Amino acid sequence: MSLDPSGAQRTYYETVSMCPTCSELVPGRVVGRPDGVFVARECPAHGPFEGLVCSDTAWFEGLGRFDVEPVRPGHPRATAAAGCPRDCGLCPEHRQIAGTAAIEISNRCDADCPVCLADNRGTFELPVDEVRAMVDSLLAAQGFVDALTLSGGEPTMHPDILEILAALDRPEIGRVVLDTNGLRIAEDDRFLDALARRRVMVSLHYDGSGARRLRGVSAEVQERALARLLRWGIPTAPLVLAVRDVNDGELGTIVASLLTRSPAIQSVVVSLMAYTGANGSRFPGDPRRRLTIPAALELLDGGSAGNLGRRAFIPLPMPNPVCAAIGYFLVMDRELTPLIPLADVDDVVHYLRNMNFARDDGGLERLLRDGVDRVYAHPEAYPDSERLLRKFRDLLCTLFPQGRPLEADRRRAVVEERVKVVYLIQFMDPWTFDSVRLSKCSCQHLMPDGRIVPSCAYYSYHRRLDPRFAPAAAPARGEGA
Amino acid sequence: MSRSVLVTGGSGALGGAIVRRLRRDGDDVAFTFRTGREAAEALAAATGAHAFAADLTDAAQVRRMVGEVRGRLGRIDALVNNAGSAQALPFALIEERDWDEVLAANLKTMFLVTREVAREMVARKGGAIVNIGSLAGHRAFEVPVHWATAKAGVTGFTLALAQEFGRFHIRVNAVAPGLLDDGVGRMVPERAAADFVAHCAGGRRGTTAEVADVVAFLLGDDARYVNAQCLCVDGGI
Ligand SMILES: [Zn+2]
Repeated sequence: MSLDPSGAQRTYYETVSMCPTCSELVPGRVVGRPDGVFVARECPAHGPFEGLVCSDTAWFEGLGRFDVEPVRPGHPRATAAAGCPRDCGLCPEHRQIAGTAAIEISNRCDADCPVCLADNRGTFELPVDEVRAMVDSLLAAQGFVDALTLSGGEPTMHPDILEILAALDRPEIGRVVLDTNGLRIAEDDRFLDALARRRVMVSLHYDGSGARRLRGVSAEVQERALARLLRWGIPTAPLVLAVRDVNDGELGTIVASLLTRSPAIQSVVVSLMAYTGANGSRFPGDPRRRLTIPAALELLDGGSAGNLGRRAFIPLPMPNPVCAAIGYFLVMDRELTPLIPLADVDDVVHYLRNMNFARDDGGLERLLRDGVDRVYAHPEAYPDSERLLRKFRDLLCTLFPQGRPLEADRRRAVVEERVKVVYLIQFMDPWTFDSVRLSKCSCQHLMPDGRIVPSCAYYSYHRRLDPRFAPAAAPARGEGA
Repeated sequence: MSRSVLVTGGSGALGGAIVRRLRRDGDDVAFTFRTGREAAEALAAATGAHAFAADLTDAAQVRRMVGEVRGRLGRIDALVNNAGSAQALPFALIEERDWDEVLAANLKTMFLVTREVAREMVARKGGAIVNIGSLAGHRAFEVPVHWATAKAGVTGFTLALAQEFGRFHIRVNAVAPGLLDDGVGRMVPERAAADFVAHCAGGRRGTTAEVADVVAFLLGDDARYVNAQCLCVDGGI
């Protein structure tokens, strides 16, 4: 770390960044000032640019505590000849396995989201066998993946989507996530019937009053899709895109009401606007004033009676900890109790290490037990300690009713009803592109040729080089481009 | 002449096993239940034992229930104090009412029922009582503290009552099961259960039937010289 002579700016590290105008890779520096942390670079043709990475310099400087030792991926598929991000595949310099692997199963879409990070030209649909082969290739490298996300395009438009879901129902995949705009779900009863029989979690775009401006879909349609998913009992993780000056004032109320709404909602994801992709790169807004994780936490706090604020979250240890944050909440009697403040932060970091969500391995139970003992031992630190302890007591009495023990499945269902997770995630775009941050990326795109590319490298760099998105890409299956 | 036995808490897993075993031996059996009416009725139908509903923490209900049992069986030769309940709570979460409830459900019930039933044993100068304790009343296990306290209380109750009633030829013994495959044993976390099995010479959980066999032995004439004992049925810990 070096300070400039005035002492007002420090450089944390050198990196490879990108010109937001021409997308050329250029050397960059990650710098900190009192007003935030930025990626600074200069394009020989287009001049200097700065992109905001984190609006709170102290938060950024404290991330080291969460930066766990990653798990190196097996079998790199590229050599590190040209340097990151040119050699993705993954290359031997990439330091982390995939916690979430994503497959764009088509580039057809029935919406035209103004914020879309993809490029929907309607030119391909992956056959089921190809999807299966891509997943085999990933699992050959790392054995297990927490989550596999099907996106696109709009994956529910894929004619074989149900067969793809069936093909992915395997123990090496923690959960299969279907990322959707909700249009088909809002209308198609038979599709919901079929989804309810598959092992899938639906990631439904749900943007509050920002729906129309961000997605081109009305809030009523998103609400209708959500209500139907819940009525069908399909596990749903609403995905809220948070954008400064669009829906930033209502984040807390949206998230708090989702968490207390239904047992089928086990997690909520708040994704912060990234200015990349065919539409997203043109979305109006100042990438230097963008919402970053510490600022988004302040906003969440505002709308949630103080339960969704900074103290309720920690940076997610698996990716670069600047990329995401996670919070656990106990929901009892429609009240949210943040669980992170009850735990020892280092214990939570150690427990989560290299995973994206809690597994059923007893670790979470131990953390809760420790939390209970901490509240018991330090009533002065938890003003509401008696009520808090009673909530845990009531939860345990529900899990272990006298005289008639619950089956393990039912117990797991009760925990899922009562313990919810909120993620905040922040993808990079050309403004914030940083190859050093990228090297620990745990959200990775699977390619048809077996390569694995960190999602942020794909969105801002490799999609342009993907022959399926070349200007003259041939229409697939007779579909017009 | 067949023997008449009252078993408390017959709708649970262990109580049911004891009732079935005693019926197989040809005893006339009455048993009590509080909440598990369906299980109780099924057990009565399957075994020909007689089911009686009662909240055993209430002295008036106990008196009425014992009166009804005598009305049905004519007499009560032997008593099995098996009723009880547990809560899976760590110490920090046990509230005053939880403490009172668990101690009442496991200990007060034993006192009230024994007080009603033993009158006739004292008068007749003979009888047998078996109380169900737990290994957790003797050794360190990951179980709720209030429940372990109550189960340790079973031991004291057994020893003192055996001493006091010895002159009436009433034998009082206890059985302390280890980890069983049913009943309260199903509330034990997997990790703690694995730990138990690893330290158990038998290398497995016990069954409710194996405990019922020991109860039957202690009630019977083969155990006529066994008194004031707390017999651990734990596979060897
Ligand atoms: Zn440029």
